[in-house]
Amino acid sequence: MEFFATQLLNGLTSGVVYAMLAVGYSLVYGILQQINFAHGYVYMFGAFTTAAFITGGAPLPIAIGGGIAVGVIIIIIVERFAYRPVRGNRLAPTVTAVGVGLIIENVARLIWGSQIRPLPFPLQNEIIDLGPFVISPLQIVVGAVGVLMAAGLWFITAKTNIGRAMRAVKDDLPTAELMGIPVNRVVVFVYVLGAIFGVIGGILYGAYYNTISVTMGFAGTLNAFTATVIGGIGSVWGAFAGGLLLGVVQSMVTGYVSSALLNTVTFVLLVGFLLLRPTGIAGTKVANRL
Amino acid sequence: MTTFTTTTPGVDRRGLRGLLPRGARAITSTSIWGAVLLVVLLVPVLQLPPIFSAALLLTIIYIPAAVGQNLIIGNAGLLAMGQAAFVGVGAYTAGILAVRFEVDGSIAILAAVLLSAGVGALVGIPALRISGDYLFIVSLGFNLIVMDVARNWVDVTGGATGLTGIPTLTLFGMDMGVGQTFYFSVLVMVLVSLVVVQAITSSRFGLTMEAIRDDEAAAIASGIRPAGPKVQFFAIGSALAGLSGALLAYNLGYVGSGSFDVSDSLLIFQMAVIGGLGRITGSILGAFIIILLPELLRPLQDYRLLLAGLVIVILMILRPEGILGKAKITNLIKK
Repeated sequence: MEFFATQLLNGLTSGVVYAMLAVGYSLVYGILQQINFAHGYVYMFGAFTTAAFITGGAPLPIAIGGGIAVGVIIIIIVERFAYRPVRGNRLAPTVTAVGVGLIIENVARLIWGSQIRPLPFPLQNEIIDLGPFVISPLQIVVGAVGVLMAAGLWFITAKTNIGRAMRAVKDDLPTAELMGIPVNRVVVFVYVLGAIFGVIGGILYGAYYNTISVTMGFAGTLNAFTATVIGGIGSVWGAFAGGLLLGVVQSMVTGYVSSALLNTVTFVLLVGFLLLRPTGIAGTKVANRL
Repeated sequence: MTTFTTTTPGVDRRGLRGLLPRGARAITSTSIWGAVLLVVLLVPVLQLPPIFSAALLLTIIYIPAAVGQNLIIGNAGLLAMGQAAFVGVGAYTAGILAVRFEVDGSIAILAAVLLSAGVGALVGIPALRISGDYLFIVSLGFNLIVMDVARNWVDVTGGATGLTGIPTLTLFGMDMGVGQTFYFSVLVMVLVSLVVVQAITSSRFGLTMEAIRDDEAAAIASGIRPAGPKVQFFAIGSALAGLSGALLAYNLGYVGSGSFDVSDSLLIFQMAVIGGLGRITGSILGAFIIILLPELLRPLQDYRLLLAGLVIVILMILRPEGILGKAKITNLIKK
């Protein structure tokens, strides 16, 4: 039971990180039907920037703000110069995203080197003993940040003008444009929102495991995209549900079976969902075009 | 759409006999093929620096995998990206047969191609129900499973250390494994595979596949069953990747799980898309760009991958349909 609780907590923690990344994919896919493959690299670069600030002695809020700001600037540049010129094409954005990923990863290598680095963070070595099991204060922080961010995102999409514009563009992009919604600005906003969530997810990941590496961008991409599909692509709630489910399942498999089977289990889960419930947990309808 | 009106009259109904001249004509008519071939044939004679000729050999080895990717996306319209997994299946099959059973290269390569085709057909079956970006992710996921198997099935694959001691290539008992002999054997096998591909794509079967890609509902309405061609094209594309894998195993003398990762699938995907979908010549050009470009940029050391990324982005923005691609195809891929 203790072991189960520990694994469950670990799973939920990595699940929140997946969810934070998945939100970025889901938002962009919901509007442009495009997988933003550069997203994982933005998450990596943001986490590295924050780590550099912390190692340099900057106070925590500035370090986190700096990481988010750099992530946002990168995604704005990428959207403008690598995505917008090929928008509407099915495959070209995927290829430019791969090129962009190559650029971001190698810039990170040039600045910080290829080795695994620590991300020093407060509360890292502390543990709260709850009797039957222990919990680290950072896990509580990760959970709280996840809940707060989810609430914030719900508020933005449901209650604000830009949120309404996002939903309009998602439902019908050409009509939204005809109604005077500045589609380009909405698209940039969606990318920026995704980057903010992604970088915070990257910082949480780095803080919790106290390791970051330039290769975490690609690994994060695959898990988070799987979470997005499991949750129901295009749905924000689905992204959170899918992230948590994937995190817990992976943690249980690692704990009770073998970590060697991690990818296989993830894949079986993915195919199972696609075959039996293609709309994901949230059940977003995806119209089939003839 | 006018899909089947353009399909039926152009098709030669005489079956296999009708294929050969059509395939041969298409090959001779493409001047780029001749130019590329000339350069490729001349290179060993010109005594280029070893790094360059090694990269050139690697490029030729990867051409079938890139063409296979092109068949799956461009001709079949299936947005799948996991070619490195099939390169891996081919490499391990040929490697294991050559090391453990000491079979002739011809048998090892044939077995690699057939097994990759079989596995490809198995992966192609979900493609009947899953399409668009979902298929994209599923094929990537399959790639991850192949990596898991390669790393953990130590008795067969050698696990993390890999499969070592693959003998030099022998074909029908003749030693073909060293220097220029190996180079030309690879070249001949790759060219034969391309001729076969050309024959398939211009056959009735190939045109049926294109009709399904262009408009599946119309194709079904005119009596075509889409399931068979889809799975078969998937198998053919995978078989080509298997050929690349077998040649790679003989080239390196070693098979390690490091060459079959998702990032390698992405490279093969880039070859097909940058070169242009729907054109075999495009994928050949794509293979040259993706493999040779980082090699040519080698003097720039740490900056080379960064610049390679930049070139890829710029190329794609200038020609989103790929250098030699048909614009029509990219727009047809289903969401």
